[in-house]
Formats: sequence, structure tokens, C-alpha cells
Amino acid sequence: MSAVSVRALGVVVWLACTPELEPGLRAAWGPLVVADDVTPDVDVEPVPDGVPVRAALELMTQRVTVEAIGRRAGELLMLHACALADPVTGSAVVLVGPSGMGKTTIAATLGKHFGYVTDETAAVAADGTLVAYPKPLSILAADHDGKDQVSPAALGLQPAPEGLRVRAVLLLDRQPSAGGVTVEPVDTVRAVAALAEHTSYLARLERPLQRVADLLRSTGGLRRVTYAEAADLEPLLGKLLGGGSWS
Amino acid sequence: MVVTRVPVVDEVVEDGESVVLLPSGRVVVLSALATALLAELGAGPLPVEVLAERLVAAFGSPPDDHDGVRTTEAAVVALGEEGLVEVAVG
Repeated sequence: MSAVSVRALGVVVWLACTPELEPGLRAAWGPLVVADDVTPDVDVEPVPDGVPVRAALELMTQRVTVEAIGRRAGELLMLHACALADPVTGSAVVLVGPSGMGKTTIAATLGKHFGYVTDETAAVAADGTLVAYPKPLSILAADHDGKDQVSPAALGLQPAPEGLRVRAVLLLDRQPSAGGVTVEPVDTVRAVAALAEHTSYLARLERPLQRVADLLRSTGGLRRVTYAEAADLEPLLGKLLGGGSWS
Repeated sequence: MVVTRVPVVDEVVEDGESVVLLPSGRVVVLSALATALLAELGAGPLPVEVLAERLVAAFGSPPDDHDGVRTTEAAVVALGEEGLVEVAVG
């Protein structure tokens, strides 16, 4: 049996694996792999023998995320979101949405221009800083049914800098027939309700709704963004991360 | 009918409306009327007639319900179904 440890949301997760899986794990997790002598905080249930390599790698990514989120419950406000940052200043835009709203596609597309923070969990600390989780991206494979776990570097994504802070929060509404990008403000009450729906372990936080409201108040409030293609969002993100206003 | 507010995990009130997190984990958005009704119960249980009087003072009389009691009772029932208030008949 082999093993690889990775750092996810600040949690060191130990992954027992077969020798056959180890190279793929190390390649996918890249800089998040930690030295073998680092004491892990948690270990994940091994993937059963016989599961094909690609499926096993996908399962392990999911298990790492679940374990890491579970360990930071009650501490971090963890939104189901992708996030991108200015590679120099660390200002970040968090784009919240359920599965199917294009978070991974946005990260894979715009992460070549902005710093890649995460394609799945945007974790905000009580002091307003954003904890990066630049996990492997699950990309639909061209040559088989299923997804490949691809490292950000292999996709040409830029790393996010230290000292990340949330500059804006967007609620994704992908409409394949949308012509261009539209942005509309969401009032605070409905914004808190919308983000609560996309927060992991919400009730474990102290004053959970106030925590969400504080994030929104410090970032100018929630905006619902309707779009069709990920690339269409680049001007909006550029404007927000360059210090521009919504109007 | 005496109405008592049931504690929630957390709430955010803004521009008269509110959003609350229930112990069940459910998040509910409340109208201005419901938000005001729950606020009136903050100091303790009240008879529905007193609640109605205070809500009419704040929002005016509903159409065809001069003293607001029927409308308030309906709001109390709806909030009861959400688990936000309890009602004691008497």
C-alpha cells in the first residue's frame, strides 16, 4: 500500500492508495502534496480495490473535500463556489452556484488570466480572509466517459497569491441562451437566504446568518449574474478586481 | 388565542424584512408583516387581539378586516406551520 498526504483548506489529509494510484494522485494534487513526514490531521477511507484509476482519483478528490470541509466546520464560512483572484493584490471574486452552473469551467477558463483560488469551496475566515483551495479540477474527458482530475498547472492556471480577501460575491445564473452578461443586485435578506442555501455546515457557525450578512456588507452586496459562456465574464471580473465599481 | 415566539438559531433583519435560520436547518424569508409580528413577541407571549392592534397601528387596517384580527390569526397560523410561533388557545 502507498500513501499521499495533501493539504486541503489547511487540513492535512492522508490518502492510502495502491501503488497504481500514487502517480496520478501526486500529479493531480501537485503543490498541495505535503512531505511524507508531516503528521496528518485526518485520513480518508481508501477506495476499494477494483475501482478504475480515473474513477478512484475522482472519488478521492471528493473524499478529500468532504473531510477538509468537515474539519473546518464551525470556523470557516464555506460557500459552494469558485473563486478567482488578482494575482498581485489578492483581491478575489467569489462566484456562488450549485453544480451545473459552470464553476469549474469558469475556473478553468478565467484562471489562465486571474489567480485560481478554487473551483468548489470558497472558504472565508472570520477576519474576512479567503482560504485558498486550489484542488485538482474535474474535467470531462475527451476519450472516455467520466472526468479526469487535472492539476491547475497542467491547465495553465495561474496560482493565487497569499493574503486573499473577498472583493465581490456573485450568484451564478447560467443561461445558455443569454445574450451577454447581466448583473442585478439582490437585497440583503434574499441574498443571505440564497447564500445560506449554498453554505456547507451553516448551522455550525456562530451567528451563521450574521456571518453571511457581514460578508455581503463588506463586499457591496450580492449580485446575480446571468451569463452564457465563461469567457464572457472576464471583463466583469477584470473590472471588479481592478478596483472598479459595479456601475 | 395567546401567541408565543419560538427561538430561532439566527436572524438578519433589514429594511423591515428578515431571514431566519430554524433549528431544523431550514432558512425562511419573512415578509415585513411577519417580521413585525415576531418582533412584537420578542418581549413575551401576547393575545392575538393585542398583536392585531399593534400591527394595525403599524401597517393600517387590512381590507374588510377593520380590527385586523382575522388577518393576524392567518399570519399566526402560517408562522406556526413554519415552526416560528406556538399558539395556546384560551
